[in-house]
Amino acid sequence: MKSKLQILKSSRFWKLSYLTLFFFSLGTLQATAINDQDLADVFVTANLKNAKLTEVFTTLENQTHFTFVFDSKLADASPSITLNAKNESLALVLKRVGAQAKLSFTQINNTITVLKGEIQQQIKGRVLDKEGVPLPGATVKIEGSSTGVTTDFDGVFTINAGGAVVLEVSYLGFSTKTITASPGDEINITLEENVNALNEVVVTALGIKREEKKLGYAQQTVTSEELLNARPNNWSEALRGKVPGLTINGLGGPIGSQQIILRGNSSLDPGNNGALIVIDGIPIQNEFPGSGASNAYMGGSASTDTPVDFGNAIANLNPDDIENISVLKGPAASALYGYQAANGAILITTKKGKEQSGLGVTITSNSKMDVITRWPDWQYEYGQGSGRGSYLKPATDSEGNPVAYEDRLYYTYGASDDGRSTAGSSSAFGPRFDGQYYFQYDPELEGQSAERQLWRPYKDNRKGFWRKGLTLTNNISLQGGSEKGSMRASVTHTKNEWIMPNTGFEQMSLSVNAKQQISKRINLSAIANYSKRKSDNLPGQGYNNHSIAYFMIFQNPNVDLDWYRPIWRDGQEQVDMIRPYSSFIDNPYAMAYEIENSLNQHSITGNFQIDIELHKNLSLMLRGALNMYNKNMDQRRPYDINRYARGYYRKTNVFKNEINTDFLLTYTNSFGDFDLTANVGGNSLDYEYLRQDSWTEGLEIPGVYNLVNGSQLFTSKFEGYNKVNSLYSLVSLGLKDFLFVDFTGRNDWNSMLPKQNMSYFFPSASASFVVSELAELPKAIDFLKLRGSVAQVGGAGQYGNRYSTSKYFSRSDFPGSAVSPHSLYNTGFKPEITTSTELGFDLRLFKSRLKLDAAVYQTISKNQIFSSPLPNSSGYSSALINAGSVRNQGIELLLNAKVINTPSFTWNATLNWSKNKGKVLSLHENAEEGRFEMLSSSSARLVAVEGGSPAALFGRGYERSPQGEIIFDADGFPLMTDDIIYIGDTQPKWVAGFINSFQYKNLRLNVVIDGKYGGVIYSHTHHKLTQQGKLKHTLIGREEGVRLGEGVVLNEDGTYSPNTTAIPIADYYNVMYPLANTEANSFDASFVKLREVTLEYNFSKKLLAGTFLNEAAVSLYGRNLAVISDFPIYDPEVAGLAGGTNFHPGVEVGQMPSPSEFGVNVKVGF
Amino acid sequence: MKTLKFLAIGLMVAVLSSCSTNFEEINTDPNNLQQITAGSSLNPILYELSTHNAIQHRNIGAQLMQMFIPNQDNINAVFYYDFVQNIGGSTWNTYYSELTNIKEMEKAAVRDELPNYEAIALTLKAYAYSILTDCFGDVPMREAASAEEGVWFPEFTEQEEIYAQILEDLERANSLYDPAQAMPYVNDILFQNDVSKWQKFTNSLHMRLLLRAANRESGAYTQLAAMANNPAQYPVFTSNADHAVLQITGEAPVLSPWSRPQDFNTFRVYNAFFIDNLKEFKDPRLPVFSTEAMGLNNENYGYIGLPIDYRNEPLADSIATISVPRQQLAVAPLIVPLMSYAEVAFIKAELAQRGLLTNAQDHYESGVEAALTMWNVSLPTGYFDNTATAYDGTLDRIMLQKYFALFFTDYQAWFEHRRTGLPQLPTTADMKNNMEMPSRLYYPIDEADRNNQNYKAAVERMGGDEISIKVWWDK
Repeated sequence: MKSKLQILKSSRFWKLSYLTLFFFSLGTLQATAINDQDLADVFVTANLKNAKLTEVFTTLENQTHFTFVFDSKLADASPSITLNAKNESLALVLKRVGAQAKLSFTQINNTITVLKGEIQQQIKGRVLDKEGVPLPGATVKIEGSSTGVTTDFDGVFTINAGGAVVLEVSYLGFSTKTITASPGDEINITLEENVNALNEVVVTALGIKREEKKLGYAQQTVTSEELLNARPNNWSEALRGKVPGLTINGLGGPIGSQQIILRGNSSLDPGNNGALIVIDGIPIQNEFPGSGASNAYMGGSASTDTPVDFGNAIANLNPDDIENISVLKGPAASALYGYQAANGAILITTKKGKEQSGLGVTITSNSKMDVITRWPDWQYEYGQGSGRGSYLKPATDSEGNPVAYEDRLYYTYGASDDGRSTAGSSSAFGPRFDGQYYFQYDPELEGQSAERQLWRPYKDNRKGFWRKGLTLTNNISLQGGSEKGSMRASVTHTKNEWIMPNTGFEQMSLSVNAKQQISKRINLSAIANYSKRKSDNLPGQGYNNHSIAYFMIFQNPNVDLDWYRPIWRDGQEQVDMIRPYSSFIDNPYAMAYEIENSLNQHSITGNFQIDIELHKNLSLMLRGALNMYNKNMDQRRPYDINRYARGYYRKTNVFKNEINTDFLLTYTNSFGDFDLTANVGGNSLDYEYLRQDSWTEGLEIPGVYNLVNGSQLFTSKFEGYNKVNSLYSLVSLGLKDFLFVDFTGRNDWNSMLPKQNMSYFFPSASASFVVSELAELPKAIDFLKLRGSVAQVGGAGQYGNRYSTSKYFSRSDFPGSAVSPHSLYNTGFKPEITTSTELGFDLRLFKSRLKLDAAVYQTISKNQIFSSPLPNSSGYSSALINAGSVRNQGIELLLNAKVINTPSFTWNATLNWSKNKGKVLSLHENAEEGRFEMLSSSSARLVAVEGGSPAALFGRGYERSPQGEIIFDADGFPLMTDDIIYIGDTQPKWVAGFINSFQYKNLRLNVVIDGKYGGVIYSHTHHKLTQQGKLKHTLIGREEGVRLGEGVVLNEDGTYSPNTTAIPIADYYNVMYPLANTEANSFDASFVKLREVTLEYNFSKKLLAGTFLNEAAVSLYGRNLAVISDFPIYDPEVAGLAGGTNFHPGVEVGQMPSPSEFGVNVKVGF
Repeated sequence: MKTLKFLAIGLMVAVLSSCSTNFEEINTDPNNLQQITAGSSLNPILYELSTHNAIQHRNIGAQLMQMFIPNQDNINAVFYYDFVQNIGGSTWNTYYSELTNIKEMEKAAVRDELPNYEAIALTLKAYAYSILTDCFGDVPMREAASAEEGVWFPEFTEQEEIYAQILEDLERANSLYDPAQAMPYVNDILFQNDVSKWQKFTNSLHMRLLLRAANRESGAYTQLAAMANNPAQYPVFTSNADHAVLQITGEAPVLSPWSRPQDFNTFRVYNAFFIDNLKEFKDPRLPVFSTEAMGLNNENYGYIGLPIDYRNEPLADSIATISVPRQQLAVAPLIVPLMSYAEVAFIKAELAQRGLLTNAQDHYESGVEAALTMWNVSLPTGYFDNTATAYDGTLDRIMLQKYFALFFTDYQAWFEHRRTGLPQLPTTADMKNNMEMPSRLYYPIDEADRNNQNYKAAVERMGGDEISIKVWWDK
């Protein structure tokens, strides 16, 4: 019997688009035995349980125009068949029947011949990339079965198939392709390289690789290429501008420690905002063992030295070994990391070996030059002089006639016939350079010159101190593998000469990554990274007598840098330093060559992992990981510098050891339309941080740095231990291909918390809904996914909160002494709770030519553990409490367009934009006036304000009239507020990045532009340079000698009238921009940067064909090439350093120049 | 799903006990002490208070008393009585911080039955509260330093009560000393564990504070006289060998309060009042304290101080530099007096001048001599033949010399000026506060904010948080 053809086009209100694509591709195949067109276009419905084969065929015949021809023996021998199909194509139905009954089918016109399926035949093929290069190690799988093979070194595979099958071909970094093939076929399969393919596998929490479409939260992958395109010293610098919602607080300097912030500041503990760093599945504490000073401003308290950046865990990593970085922005994504996950996570996967054509050797060589291109706008028109009071010549001449201000100025180094010495002043309010002659410093005489010398500026007397930085990085990596295992080893050497003379570092990194299948069910893998970093000198940071930033401020236009060059007075080596001017100014060459901070560091990270397949649905992972380093840091201070008349020497040793042991049990199975993955895991963290400092004040023999040589020796020791045990579970459910739901739960036991609160549990849930799999969407839409998540994580705050549950007396420098703590302990503090909700979508249009990923989120962090200020009369200045609630809300957009996509030319543009708004919902009941001061440096304070930003800039400002004009007193001096006032939010309004990649044949050009809009930054350097008349804007009013402050005076009757009293020029810049006036020295932190430009030429395979090379590329690149910003000093992005532990953006206290970088990179593979 | 959840929870419960067995031990700080001795904090307390005092003397005391002032800046000029709101912040914080240490010291002394240390703790407590209350008026005392006991917001105690308490404590301290018992812990940096010197300090301080409150405290003068007449029961300083003057050796950790000595004297100049008087005295301390003024061509002009009314009385343009504080004063070895023998002598001189003791002139001259020798200069012969220095029977004369004796001694010269109005200092119309010497410091901003209710109650009681409000003993 033949039934009517049923083409159910009209009755089908949905039709899965991917099926359309699928059949379209089927239709293009040739030389197949089956006329797929027919079978695929015929749709049948069947609901049979344990049916006989004949029954099946009858059912199908009734619905189609086909007739089945078969041997009845075959039918009798066949097992009973269960078939459940609703409007499915006959092709698919037959495949399922064939699979159950081990049969195959051949169609001739309207007849389908049924054959025994045992006749296995081979499909042969070759997997290639777009350029025709074979892809070894690609996986070829028969869809719906467990049969699969991998391609050999020539990309060739053979696979057995009983009949026509759908092959699924996948290769990491390429989009997976499905193709129908029949036994006997010989096919070439070309895979398209695609980073953001629909089914791209990405790394998620715990290192679990999952298809991106299944994720219910925002995740972004940054590839190795993106990191190395325009290689900076610290790889994390290369994340700038590439990930919406990601900001970086950095310091500048050779090593450039950084803190990565995702989605804004959520913690009232400013050191507790950084994202968790996870390397190969192992969380790494990103502690910052800087030197002891608590503040960049004057080195904190008097007894501490200027801070030095010795690098943190992020800075230690070698970017050559990074395969990719997965950014998990919200707690939902990182919930499985529990107590550390509140600020999101950065998952770093290092490179593994893979099968490779050729030897598998890759060599890269990178040379980079750093050139400072942005300087403060220093003036070189007027020279040294206080320009005030007793350092002016008399106001009237001998005949009593008034003398013009300009003519009252003079200069003399040491008192002379010209007048009292003016060379003690650090200011540049002295006489104009007009070709006149004065007694000046004579480097030969080391004092006043014998004759008057030409009064001239030395325009290169700051810039000339700096040099071109040079970084050479060479990497060689070897890799190879087979079906059973692979290995990769890499050696990298980096030598950096930083822009400051005699500073920089050298690093050697070794990395081994191996995996091996040791039995059918057991895989072993191990990773070991060793690095040795050494530096003879790292620069002192901040604003302090012996920081170079301090010298750059105090240097005067009329002073030749060369005068400082001998460092020591003749015959007084190591004893008497050349410091011809104010005693505040230490010799800059001493800062480079004598005041040294050296580092010698060994670090090892690694892990060992066993994966056991317990059952086809159940696997177990066991892992142990180590993160260990030993740092030796020396600080040498010679005689005769400001802080130490007789020198100082400090040796610091930090040993850190962090051990994580994990297990993860994974169960996967499918139940009809449902896929289930369930994970149960556990982690134990054992953390040990030992720091030993020994120092001496005063050296018996000058210039000998040895503790034995010290006049008095001090030591201090810190041991930090903590431990966290965790159990967690992740359950993922998938419904067909369109709905994915995750649930996680985690319980931590954290030693930092009081006993009764040590254990805490937090859940999360997320869902992903692929609309395009389910609904008929306009043709242009290829893919639409909606996602949403809710998560809660708990934490114990910073590891520095350990030992906070009991009272401890701490050491003081006095022998046999101990003093009371300033922070009140807390026997009952509880874990912090961060709750986040997130919604987003992922939309791809026009065959993925246009992609838009958007997310909105809200994160509320409450119950925060932080130090709340107490009235000092209570005996403590702060108490560790649980309080406060901070909300962050934001939007993140990522728009990607393949603007031009022709075979020879492509232009790929990515625009990312993010906006985050932080708001303090509540503080502690005792917070002063709804404010909580988190940091104070120079005159700027970083304050959390109830109802406002969690990182607002406060300080004193101008007293202003109701119209907003500055109020001056009767003498023409501006009034300043008595109290600190709100200056602005240090957090930007939005951040954006624009990445453009152009490819013309083998030539690639990559351009990254990024910027920030909004936010304020305080500049201590601006205050000081203005006060001292060293910036060009202080030239206004020089000739007149006075300047009128723009504003009003308050009259006795309460009205305001314009200020008419001009004040002396030197006073003007002092009182308009004093240290205390934070407002006057704060700037809009908005900027646009030309962040990266890379031009790469990739030698084609054809060109290399005759050589031993199989890969070669040369690139030229630049970083930070141009900046547009109102910020008057070097870089609107460089943060200050607060103590050994915190970076804080928005406050600049003695900034280092940040150079533009120019590099060339060569890569060859053979 | 449900089963799994149960399984997970079951597993968790199962390992719960093993998950945190030794966690409390791990969270015990191996770096710091959970218990201290009565001697543990003594040196840090002495050093912190003294160095703070030296810095505040430069910043406030010396300016108010026209000793030396900044010459760069007349915004928020302390010498013009133009105070920033937070002028007392660091004094407040330092003193309360050390009072916490003093409290721990007292607790340990009582616990370990060490009466000498208990007496020292009581003495330091009295010393610290006296400076606080004399600076501010009412300050927290009864409930202070008790955050650990749960009092995060201490009430302010009235000055009268504070004085009653500290005088009582000093009396008790005197009775506790037992010179037979040695002080067992590390040598203290002030008296090197000499119990008898500590006892003299207790009684000398007792006299200072009795005298300060004498206008309000009935019987104070009589009691002072009784103390002075009974050195067996109330031993006090009898020479510079006894005095409470901290020797800053420069050997770490006993370092100068100014790690950069130029922070002490840069942009600081002496006032005419200070220089002119010493010049008139022909005082050998002058070259110790001050540099000489220089002309344009390095000619020596001798000692010249800046008149307080320098806007109307400017110095001649021919003067290149006027007299400035010698940097050496801030370079170790240096001294920081807590209380000098000279002060005791001047107290006795005042009592005698008021008719409660005899031999006013002897006490006066002993005071002057001690004040000179404290700075390592000896009394020139004929020093008192000068009409400017000879004892003339007036309190003015005593207080003028006491003023110089209190150079470098925290706020004492200012307190004494508030008590006596002496010495009379020149004024200028540029001065705020109606040209009146301020009677106190503002309460610190932090305290006003963080302890707001109690702050408000105290301010209401005192009549305002103004620098013109007189404290109890000053009324």
